[in-house]
Parts: sequence; C-alpha cells; structure tokens
Amino acid sequence: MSLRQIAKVLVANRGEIAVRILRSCKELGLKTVAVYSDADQTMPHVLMADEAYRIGPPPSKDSYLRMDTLIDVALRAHAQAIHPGYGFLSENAEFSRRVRRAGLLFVGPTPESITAMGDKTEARRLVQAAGVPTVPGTPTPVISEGEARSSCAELGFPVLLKAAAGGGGKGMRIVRSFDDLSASLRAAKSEATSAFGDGRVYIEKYLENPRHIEFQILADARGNVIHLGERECSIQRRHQKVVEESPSVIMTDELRAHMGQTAVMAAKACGYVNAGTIEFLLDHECNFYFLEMNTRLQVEHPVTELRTGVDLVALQLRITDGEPLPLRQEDVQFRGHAIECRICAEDIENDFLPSTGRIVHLHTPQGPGIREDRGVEAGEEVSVYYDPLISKLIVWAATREAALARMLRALEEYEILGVKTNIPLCRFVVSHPEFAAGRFDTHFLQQHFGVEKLPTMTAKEREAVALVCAMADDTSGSRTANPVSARTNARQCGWKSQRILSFRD
Amino acid sequence: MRLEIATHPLLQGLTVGTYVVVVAGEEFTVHWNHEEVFVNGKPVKVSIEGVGGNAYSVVTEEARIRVISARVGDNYEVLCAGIPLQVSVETERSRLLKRFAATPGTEMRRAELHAPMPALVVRIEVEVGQTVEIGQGLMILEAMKMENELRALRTGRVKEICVTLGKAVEKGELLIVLE
Repeated sequence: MSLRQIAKVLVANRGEIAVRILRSCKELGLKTVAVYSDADQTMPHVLMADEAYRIGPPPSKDSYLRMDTLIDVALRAHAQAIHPGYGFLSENAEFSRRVRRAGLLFVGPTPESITAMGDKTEARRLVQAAGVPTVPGTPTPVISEGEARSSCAELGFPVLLKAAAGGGGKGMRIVRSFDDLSASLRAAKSEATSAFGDGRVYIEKYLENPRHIEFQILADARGNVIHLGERECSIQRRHQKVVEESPSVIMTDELRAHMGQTAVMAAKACGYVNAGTIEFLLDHECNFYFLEMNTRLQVEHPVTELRTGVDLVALQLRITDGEPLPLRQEDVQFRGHAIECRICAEDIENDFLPSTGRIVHLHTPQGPGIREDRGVEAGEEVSVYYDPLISKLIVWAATREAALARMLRALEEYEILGVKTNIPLCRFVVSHPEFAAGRFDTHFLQQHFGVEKLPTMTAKEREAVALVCAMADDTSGSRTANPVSARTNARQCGWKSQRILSFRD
Repeated sequence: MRLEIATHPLLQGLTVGTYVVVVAGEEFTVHWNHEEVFVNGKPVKVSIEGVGGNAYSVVTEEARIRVISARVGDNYEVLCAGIPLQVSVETERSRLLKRFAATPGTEMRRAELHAPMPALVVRIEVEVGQTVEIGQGLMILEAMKMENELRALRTGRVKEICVTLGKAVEKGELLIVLE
C-alpha cells in the first residue's frame, strides 16, 4: 500500500481541492503538509493536514503563487513531493522545473509537457502533427491589432479571443465584428495578464453551438497511456463550467473509442506522464476537434471517479512514485451516470457578481449516491482573493434519469446562508426539460436562463419568513441576540432565550 | 384556542410588540400578545420552533415550512424554499418615525454607485463632468480573478469619482456620484 519514494506530500493549494488531495494522501498512509495565507488560517485544509505553514498575506501572488516559499516549506518540512492541485501553479512549467531542481517530486507531468501543452498555439501545432483534428485558428498569439484584424478576416467572424497561457474562461472574448475587436482585445489581454501573468492572446474560429466534451487520460512513466472516458461539460456560463456529467448523452461506444484513442494520441504526442485532460469541441454532426489539453487534475474529476471507481489523486501519487498504471484500457469499466454541479458564491440575480461574506449556516445533502467536495466550513469567510467555488456536488445513479432526480433532491437539501450561491441556477438546469432530454450545447444558459425564471416564494412561505424574523427580533431591547434558537446551541452561542409557541385547542 | 408558551428556565417572558417585516417587497405587520399571534391584523395558528443552528420549523394547519434565518448587521439573511433574501424588521414606531423624516426628492437628485463587493479598481472609464447613459460602463472592478464592469443605472452627469485606479475598495464603499 505504501509508496516507495514518497512519505510526505505538500499540497500547494487551498479550498476543496486541497482537502480532496489530503484525503487521498491520508488513505495512502502519507504524511501531509498544508500551506495557508492569512485569509485561510482556520480553513479545513489547514486543520486537516499533519503540518501547516503560513506562506504569506491573502493575495495569491503573495502566497499561493510564491514558488520559492512553497519549495522552501517543502524542504523544511522534509516532504518528498508537491501536489499543485488545479489553478495556481499547477500548469506552471517553471514551478515544475524548480520543484525538480530542488530534489522534490512534482505530482504532475514534466515541465516539457506543461510547456508544450500550456502554450495553446504550440499545443495545436503539436497534436496536428500527430494527426489530431483541431479548430481553425492563428498558429501563434497575435502580436498587434493589425495582425488580429487580418486573422479575423481570414478565419471569418465570429471568432474567439483566447489567452495563450491558460483557460477557465479568463482572457476569453467572442468577437462578432471588426467594431468590437479593439475593446475585446484590450479586455482579453488585461484579464489574461492578471490571471496568468501572460497577456498573449490567440484567435480561433468560434464554433456556434458546439458541445464541449473532454477525455480524462492517465499515463505512467513507462509510456502506458489510457483514457477513462468522457465528461460532458457543455453547461457553461461565460466559458465557466457549471454542470458536468458522464457519460455524454450523444456518446456511443464507437465514438468514445475513437475520441478516446485520439486523446491518448494527443497525450503521447507530448510525452505526457500523470493525469491530464484532452478537451474537444463537437459540432452537430459529431465531428470533433482538439481544443486544448489541461496538464493537471481538473475540477470536475469526481465525475470520472464515480463512473469508473478509480481514485485519480491516488493514481497521480502512485505514478509520481514510479508505479506503472494498474489498469489497461480493456480493464476500464464504466458504470451508471454521474453529474456534478459547481456550487459558487455568486449573486445570480445581479449579473453573477461574486458574493462574499461569512457562511452562517451550512447544511449539505447526504444519502445514497451523494458526494460533496468542499473546502470551507460554516463560520468561515468567502473572500475576494480566490475563486468563487464553494464546493462541488456530485451524484451517481444507475441511469441518467435517476441521476437527475437525485441531483435535484440533493440541491433541494443544500442550504448555504451568508453568501449568495448559484444553487437556484443549478436547480434550473437539472430540472429543465431540454436538459433532461439531452438537447443542449454551450449556449444552453444563454438561450434558456433568465432571472425572471427563478422561482419566487409562495404567500405562505413569505408569511412564515415574516413570523420567524419578527419573533426572533423580539429581544427586549437588544438587537444582537436571536431568542428563538436551537435548544442544544443556546448556551454556546450566548443566545439569551429560547421560546416554543404552540397552539392547542 | 389557547396559546401555550414554554420558556427555558434561564429566560425572559414573552413581550408585547408590533413589528413590520419586509419580505421580498411585501410588508407584514406582526404582533402578538399573551394569547395570540397576528399577521396583518389576522390571527394565525402557528407553531415556530428552533430546530438546530439557524433553522426554524414553522408549522401551520396547511404546511410545515423550513426557514433558515440569521441576523447579519441590521437585517436578517434568510433562506426559504432555496430562495435567499434579505429581510428587514423594524418596530412599527421606528418605521413611522422614518416616514416623517424622509425628504421627498433627495433620492432623485443624487445617484450614488457603491461597490457591490470588496474589489480592486482596475479601470475608470469616465471623467468628471461627462454625461453618461443608462447601461454605459463607468468602472471596472476586479474580484475573484474576474473583471466586472459596473454600469450606470440611469442617465446623468458624473459629479464625483471617489476612488483612484488601483484602489482596493470595501463592499458598500462609494465609488461614483452622478447627478
């Protein structure tokens, strides 16, 4: 069970993914090291690890992005490996290089693979040479606005401006005419610089109404590469994924085998080792095109874990330790249906502005087929410094229909108070007849969602709310204590009173 | 119909008061005495119980409704049927006082734009004296690694820009004044 070279791992991340990685480390019998900024001092990932080190003030650039600090902590703590999670430095080739130079193991691919696939235009060139179909676009990032203009003329509108250095929707803009090009180019560069430290932007033909389907691959150091099936990620808002599922409704065994093999080819083209994801776009005829490769573990990896029964983080650690893959392609089994909703701190009634605040109430769904990956507890602050992901809610069931019903049930049980969340949006998607019918593409939310479609409270519910707030407010002068409180918590929270009213004839 | 009140031994008794609660734009007047509870003047049969943390069970003849409610500053943050909202509660007296004190027209003359969340000012798109239209971009704030453009909710002229480029602003901080 134990690994040969790794006894202790430093998790260079925070929030839900740090907790996720720590859990698999524990199960493998590894010692763990967490890092935290001043904003994260009491967060679950810090309290869960065997050791925790402060790495700086809240802003990421002063803490979670400080390569020297992270490596220094790993060495001081005598860790053998660093797991970068996703985001932050996970796709930073320089970090991967420095980690290795320091004599540590990087839980991820080689710096060369990260570089090859990290530059989106280079990646396209590389996989094209290996026979993988790609979306038409500029071979290199555009240097000047003039170059951008001529590229647009060549590709034909609409086009998509994309950051060369990273994904996740940052630095991305759709441009439909020459009039919008200038402002969009400026905005894309600015956002890309801020998110990745690299403002280079390239241009791609924008496929209208595509499906976004990605394949999980795993590769060991001996050249064995397998795929673990697809994830359908078409439900997106401004290029940020909201709902992911596996299998995709349009997938057939044949198409899966074909796309899977292509994904494996793309991974081999850059000598890939460890876990990675190949993203494809599909048009309405199910022609697929390589979009990009993500050289890291992805946010939505639990969907694949529930479908295949594989622990991807554990395998990442084993591969890093030098073990060969424990599965051949023919051993990979797909079971049932998995759906994930990303629960984010957003004000969906106010143009999805980030919502910050202290979580005062948290009640998460449980029961059969429910998995929740979360890295924040009640009482903690959701702050501006990091991304708005609070948790991931993933369900598994035998069929898609059952999975949808289960996800709806789980979302109804999910209560978060203190920050606004996109839970009502997730409920909207999962209960929408077009989504249930499998008729959707990346424009689903644009087409169907509107704030006016959100449910409103019934008259009885409003009255119930009024009663609770009024009764709770009656504190004989003091506006700080809530008198109608839980019996068990009354003393701990310093609440002064507790009252039960009932009517009896 | 008899109202039974069970109180914790450490506790104070029931008081008499009238409150005005605003829920999703609707006003409810709630008052009670030692025997009954009234909503908008009508007596209601209801049982309210704290069931753990910030959760309450509201049981009427027709339904059982779960309400999550927590005091945040001067208001209540509430979650009911998956719908989040802010609820204000005032005594009837203070509400009446406020009504007399408000000067009509003051709200129309100034339009203030406040920061909707803590963020960094990364771009100021207008100048003092500039005329703006509804929907026009005024400022770009960055938070949680995404840029958000704040737009004018009405036409007007920029009277004052209260922040500078690069400033980190608090939630609610005054950014721009239009007239």
